[in-house]
Amino acid sequence: MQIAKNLLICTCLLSAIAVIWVRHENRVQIIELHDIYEERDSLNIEWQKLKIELAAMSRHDQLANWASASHSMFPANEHSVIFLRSQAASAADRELSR
Amino acid sequence: MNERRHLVFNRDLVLLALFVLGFALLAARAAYLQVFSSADLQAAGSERHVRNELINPNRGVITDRSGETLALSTAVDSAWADPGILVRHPERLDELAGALDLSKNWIQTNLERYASQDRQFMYLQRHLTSQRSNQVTDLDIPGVSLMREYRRFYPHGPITASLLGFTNIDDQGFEGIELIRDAQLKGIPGLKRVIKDRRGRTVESLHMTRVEDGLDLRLSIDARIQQLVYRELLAVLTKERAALATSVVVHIPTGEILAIATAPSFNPNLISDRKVPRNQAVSDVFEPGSIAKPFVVAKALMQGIVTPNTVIDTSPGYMRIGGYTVEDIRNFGPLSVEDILMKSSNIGVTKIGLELDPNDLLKFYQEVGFGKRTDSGLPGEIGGIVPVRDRWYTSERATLSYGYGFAVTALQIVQAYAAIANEGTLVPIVIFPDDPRAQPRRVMPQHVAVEITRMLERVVTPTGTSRRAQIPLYRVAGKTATVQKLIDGEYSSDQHLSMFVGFAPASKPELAAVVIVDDPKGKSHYGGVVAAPVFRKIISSALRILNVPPDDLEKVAVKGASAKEKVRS
Repeated sequence: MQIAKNLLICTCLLSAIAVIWVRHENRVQIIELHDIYEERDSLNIEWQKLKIELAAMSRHDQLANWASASHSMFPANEHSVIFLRSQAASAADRELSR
Repeated sequence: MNERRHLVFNRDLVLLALFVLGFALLAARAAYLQVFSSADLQAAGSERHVRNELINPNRGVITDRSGETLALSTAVDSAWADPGILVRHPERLDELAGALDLSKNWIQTNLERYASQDRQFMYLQRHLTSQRSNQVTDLDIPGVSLMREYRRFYPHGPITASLLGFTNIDDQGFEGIELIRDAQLKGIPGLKRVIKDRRGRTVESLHMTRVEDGLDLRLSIDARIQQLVYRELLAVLTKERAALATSVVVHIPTGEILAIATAPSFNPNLISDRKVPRNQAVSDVFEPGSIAKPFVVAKALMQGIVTPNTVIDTSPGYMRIGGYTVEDIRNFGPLSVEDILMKSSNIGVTKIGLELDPNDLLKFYQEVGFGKRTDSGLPGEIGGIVPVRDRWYTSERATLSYGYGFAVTALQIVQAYAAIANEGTLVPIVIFPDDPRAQPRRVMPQHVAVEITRMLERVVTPTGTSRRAQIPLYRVAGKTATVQKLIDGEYSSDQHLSMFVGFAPASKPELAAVVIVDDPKGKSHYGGVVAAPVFRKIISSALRILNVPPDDLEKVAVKGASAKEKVRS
């Protein structure tokens, strides 16, 4: 009887300590989790900002303006392009002329 | 025995006294807490208590067909206050006002009002720059916190504004595609029940519903073509001192809209610059004028009333029907059906039109999509009018054949011309390529469509009305129109719509486009002079961007592979 009583007291104490320990651990890990969430969020934000930057800087019209203004580039016109007939097309032409 | 009872009685009494004392102490303590130190305790309580935190979802990204960003939300901080707490720290309002660039008076008045109403939330300043939000964090004023909100950015600004619309300050769809696709883009906010300590740190999370971010939305737009279309529209606005310019570019085999723009526009990134976007290509109807003529010819060809070579006498250049006079710009004399389209002769097409039953013609107009909303899914689209009725005056029948008396949108025009280009099969136009689509349908026999294409190609030759739409290396088919604007029921003599619609390359059509210039005030108001050059600039660049092989190589040097083959064999 006495032994059982002592055992109960011990387990009661142990479980009380365990509860405290688990709660503490819980808080620590929650804080850690939130830090990780925050890190994820800030990385996301950075990624979004980079995407906006990329979209703004890689606009086709701006690139075209830049190319023509600072590198005197221009779209090739019909006089500066040489057209090569593909083998299939010339084979078809030969068929026709036969 | 008696003594023993006495003893028991005493023990009861002592126990009772102890209990009474204990409860009295508790009551006294409670009264003390409630009466004397409630303010302090409430402050301590609200600094460490359970809070429901809303987690805003990140709104979906709108991209063009290849994934280029057209609209994107990025997280920003907004400063807010718990009025009940902040009001007890008036000495810090100066710092706060400085950090947020607000007047101290404004904060104070609102704060007191909110606090007296017992409210627990008050926005101080929304959408802070990162510098300001850092300042607020550093100040660490009790009751002042930051929350994460999202702000929408449109990297292409005015170029896509009339199409996309914009969101309000809470990042909810407010206009345009942002509004009609709000359900898909907005996502579902999450909720977090947390216990926070006095420094605002979360110490325990009680419950959490996950936030679901909005879904991304892909448009059929090609950002590169959209940019060049807008640039050319702005250029023609300045050059012709026009009120508006609109254009739609469509990929013919799929019916996908590659560009749809209206100029002038506004910058959706600046709240002060925002206005209700009107996408003229779908929200405005007008009489199509000469643009309808190829369909009269097509219907006449389908019914076997004419052949391309039938000659019709258009002299003397005017024609009286009822009380009206139909006029050509000059006396063209006898013209073949083909030449009637090339010269855009009103008399010629009227004579063909009068051979047709008016309701047959109108039903054909409806079949090619005139007067009916398309399946594009674009916001703000309207249908237009194609009236079918029992009795027609001859003069009305005449006007129907040269494109008056019914009203269409720019989108319907480009869809109908794409159907001609597509050998008579109308592919419904779309802006959301990932949505289920309507079935393509045949609207005219293939041989008729091919014949009309050939005729429209002759319009864009040095002798046709649209020589300014010619593109080196490519065969172009198209039609101009210049219509008088209907203002308060009267045709205006000095306000016109100058239009061009066409497609290229004519041998294997890829792109169709319509250009409408509203009220040009330059030297000429003719579609062939005002709108056709814009079409040329847009389509020639778009063909190059999309690497469409040229189909008009007769005048340029082509090096055959035959020479190589000879060497090899």
